[in-house]
Amino acid sequence: MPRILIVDDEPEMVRGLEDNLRFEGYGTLAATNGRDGLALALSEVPDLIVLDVMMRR
Amino acid sequence: MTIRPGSPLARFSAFALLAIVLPAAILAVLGYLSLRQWETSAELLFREQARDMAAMAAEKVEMVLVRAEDELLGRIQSSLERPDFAPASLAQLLASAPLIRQLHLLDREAHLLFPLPGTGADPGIVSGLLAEIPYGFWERGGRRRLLVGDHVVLAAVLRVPGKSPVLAALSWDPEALRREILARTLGTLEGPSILAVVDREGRPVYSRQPLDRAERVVTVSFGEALPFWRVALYRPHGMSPRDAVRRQVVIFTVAFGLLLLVIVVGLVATYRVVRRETDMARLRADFVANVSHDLKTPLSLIRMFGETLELGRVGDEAKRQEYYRVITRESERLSRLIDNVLDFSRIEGGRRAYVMTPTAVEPLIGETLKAFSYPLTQQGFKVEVSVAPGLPEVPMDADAVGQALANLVDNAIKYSASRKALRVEAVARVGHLALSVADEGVGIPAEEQGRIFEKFYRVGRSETQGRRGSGVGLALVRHIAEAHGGRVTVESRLGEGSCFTLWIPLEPQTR
Repeated sequence: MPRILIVDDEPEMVRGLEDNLRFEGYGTLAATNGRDGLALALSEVPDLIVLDVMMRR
Repeated sequence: MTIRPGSPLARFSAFALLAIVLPAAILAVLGYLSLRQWETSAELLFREQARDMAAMAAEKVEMVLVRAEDELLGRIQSSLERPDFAPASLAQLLASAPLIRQLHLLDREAHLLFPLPGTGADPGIVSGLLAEIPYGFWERGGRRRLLVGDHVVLAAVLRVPGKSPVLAALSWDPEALRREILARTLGTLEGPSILAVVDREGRPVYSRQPLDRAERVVTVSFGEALPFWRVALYRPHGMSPRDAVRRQVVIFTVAFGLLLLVIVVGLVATYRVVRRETDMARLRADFVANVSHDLKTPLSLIRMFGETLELGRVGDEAKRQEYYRVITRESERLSRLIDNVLDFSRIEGGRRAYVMTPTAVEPLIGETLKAFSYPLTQQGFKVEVSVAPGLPEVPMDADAVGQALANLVDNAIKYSASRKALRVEAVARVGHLALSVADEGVGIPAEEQGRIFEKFYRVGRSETQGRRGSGVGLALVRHIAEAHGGRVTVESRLGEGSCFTLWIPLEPQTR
């Protein structure tokens, strides 16, 4: 199952995206700031990253 | 303000330096060189003229002195020629001639005819005179100035028909000389230079005016008439070409310095204006970007949740309810944001109208906080509200003050870090309603506290990077406060939190 990392500081956005992607049959990972997102991207190596371009930290 | 190499200010300054300061400096150097040249030739000319003038003065003094000698010798001669000549008549003559210090008359056999022995004759002069008289003087006659001791003695052979020749020896009274000859002769010469007479040691014997710090330019001797004295020409202090040049240089330097100062002040002022303008342009551009991003976020959420519901992807009813709530909440957020931007543009255009009605404070706070209840609870904020008991209704535009309060609460949420605490307080203080919103967030550096109320201004630090905002919230808050005749103040410590207070007058303002 392909895994997608979602990084966004809007929790609602993360939730909505997760719900939809899971519905489509993807595995999801989520972070609410850039630092955590980078750490996840490096440790989990997702297949795709959906990244907010304007975020704190 | 620091100037970094390569910055616009550095380039601007370098240009100004090249374009203005360099030519001015070259001009100054050239001017100084030509001044120095002028100084040298002026000094030369002056010395020449001074020498001429001093020589002329010496000549004139000598002439006057010789004339006086002539006159006195003539008078002595005529006394001697009188048939009833008696030494006593000479005493009378002396009394009327203050110039003569001493008069001695000797006959060919060196007998003292006057003064009579024992009545004031100077044996030194007599013996010195006899020793100094050159050979053949009696026969040749004429006048001779002899140096006898410290005195100049004028010796002349006077011949009286029918009588043996007589040697007259006169010595001058220095005080009378000064008064009768020097003062009368040199005192009449005019000009900025000072003519003076100095003795052998250079001490002034006479000067037309006080010498003070005057500088002696030349000295010219009188010749044998006054061998101990010399004419000296003094230049009053500060009158030399060098002094003139020095003054010019000082004036020029001061003018140059002032010019530089003006240029520097102008540069700084221009730079500040330019920087302010470019800052404003950048802030405006940021504002557009920030607002666009802020508008997009709730819009995307509304759309995503709407579409998700529409596609029937949410089976669970509770979850569906939650989606509806998100849509409502995000719509509210969107309206709030649009209100802010629209109000801001209304304020900018001077079209914002306020309707003041007496308003109860507690419900206003309650309603405002209700709009933020979701982020507050979701992020785990400790919220504390305190309204002073007996607080009267305050005349205000409830929508505007609610908006200002919402902006302050929004900021408190946005700029809180790990310590999530919000405290809203309303009290009456010094004729005002003091409505304060305090957080324990990142705080605002002291040097930026003055600027945060400027439109588009955002505190530029890593802690605020990525925190969304249009930069108009606090400008709006300040405008609303001022429209009510009040103001907004801030107290903040970096890393400890901020407290914004909105001051609204309790009594209606007549404006």
